[in-house]
Amino acid sequence: MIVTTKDCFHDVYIVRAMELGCDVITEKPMTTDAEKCQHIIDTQRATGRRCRVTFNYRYSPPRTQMKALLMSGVIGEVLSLDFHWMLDTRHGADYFRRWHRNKENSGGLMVHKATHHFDLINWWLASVPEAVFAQGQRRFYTPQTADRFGLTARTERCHTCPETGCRFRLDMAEHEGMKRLYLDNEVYDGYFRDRCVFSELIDIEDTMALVVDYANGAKMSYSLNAFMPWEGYTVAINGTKGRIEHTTIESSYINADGTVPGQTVERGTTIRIIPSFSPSYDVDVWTSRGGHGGGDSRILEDLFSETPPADPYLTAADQRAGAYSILTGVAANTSMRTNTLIRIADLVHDIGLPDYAPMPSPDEPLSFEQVPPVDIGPPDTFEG
Amino acid sequence: MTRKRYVQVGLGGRSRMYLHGILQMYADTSEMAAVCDINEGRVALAVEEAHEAGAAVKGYPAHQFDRMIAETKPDRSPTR
Repeated sequence: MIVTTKDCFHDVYIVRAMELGCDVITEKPMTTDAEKCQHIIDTQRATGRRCRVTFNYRYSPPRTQMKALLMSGVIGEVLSLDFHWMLDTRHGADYFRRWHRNKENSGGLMVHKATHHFDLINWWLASVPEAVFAQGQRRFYTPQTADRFGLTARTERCHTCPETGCRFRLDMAEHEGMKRLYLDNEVYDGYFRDRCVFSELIDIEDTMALVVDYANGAKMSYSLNAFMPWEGYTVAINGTKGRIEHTTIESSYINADGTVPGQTVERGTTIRIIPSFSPSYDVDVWTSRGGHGGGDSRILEDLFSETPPADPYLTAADQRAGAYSILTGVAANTSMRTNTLIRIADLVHDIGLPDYAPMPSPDEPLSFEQVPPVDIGPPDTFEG
Repeated sequence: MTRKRYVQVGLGGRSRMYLHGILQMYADTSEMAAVCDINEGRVALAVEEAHEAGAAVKGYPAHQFDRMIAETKPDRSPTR
């Protein structure tokens, strides 16, 4: 049973399907708050059914390569990281038009979008979050910003809006797929996919900054900004033997407009290794094509192929990873509201630790000797 | 061989990677038996697109989710 509903209903169908004896494959985020998460964890344990969460970002070849590099020990044990994600004024803005614009639907970008990022971190570090402090606001996608652009005649949706010069205008009738899926079906449920990005009815943040403490002691500084001139991310991971810097630039897109979502820009992805006492170097980035950084085709193969490829990185994720991936964002939502540090253990109990492949030992001897560059190629099963 | 049988709930933009992945790329190993959504227009669209791809997929409204599971019996793994 495959769940691809609006985020806030995932739990209803995941739980009911497991009660009816089905195994479940669910889109991320697994769910949107702690209570629903606990219900899924408890039901899975009671029924013994399988609950798979499809983190397609893990399957993107460069992100799998990062996992391979960290497992190789090239930077030793991870002590800290900086992770900064940028959503641009096309794709980022699109969250403020759709149902995602309200926290009760999506958990905000901290859950809906950042579950991808927090899952990558958990998986890369082979750890789970313990405590979160967050600050956030919505300052760009506001009525005040629209006024400053001179969009004073705007209405609640683009379809009827007289502000035809607005750079945020979305004409659903121009995109055949979007027209068939949404515009032609409004009559059935009254859902408008083209609401004004500057509406006062929005209640999610566009600007977020976090500090996260992990069970293995690593500390992360993280930011998510949804009004950026380019889309992608920079991550720097600092270890006892050096640092990895990884950047990806993604092409811009709007969901269901006929383009490929989250496609990476050619030569826009770099991975640089800076050993503590040796010269730095770039590594050849594993190839990725297609949606979500090349992750979509690989995850489909893993899900539906009769002979899925070997998985030395334990890329497939279940409800445990699903839970820990949302809880950083759930904690951040509470932290932003209360201005306090939130402990993950206070939110959901008895999750169980996700399965992770072995990582470098914290007891390994260190050395001042110069080390040769590492060169890890992709597994034979990777498609170019 | 017997194909693995799936059902899907939720037919918005993100559903299509799975639905079309099964219909087009993995039709030899997998079958989409039924789809379900709160919006009957999107159910009809998914059923029509599946038909165009040569697959007979049943459509259900969301309030008949239990009935969909009972009638189509998606595959499951042995309980661990």
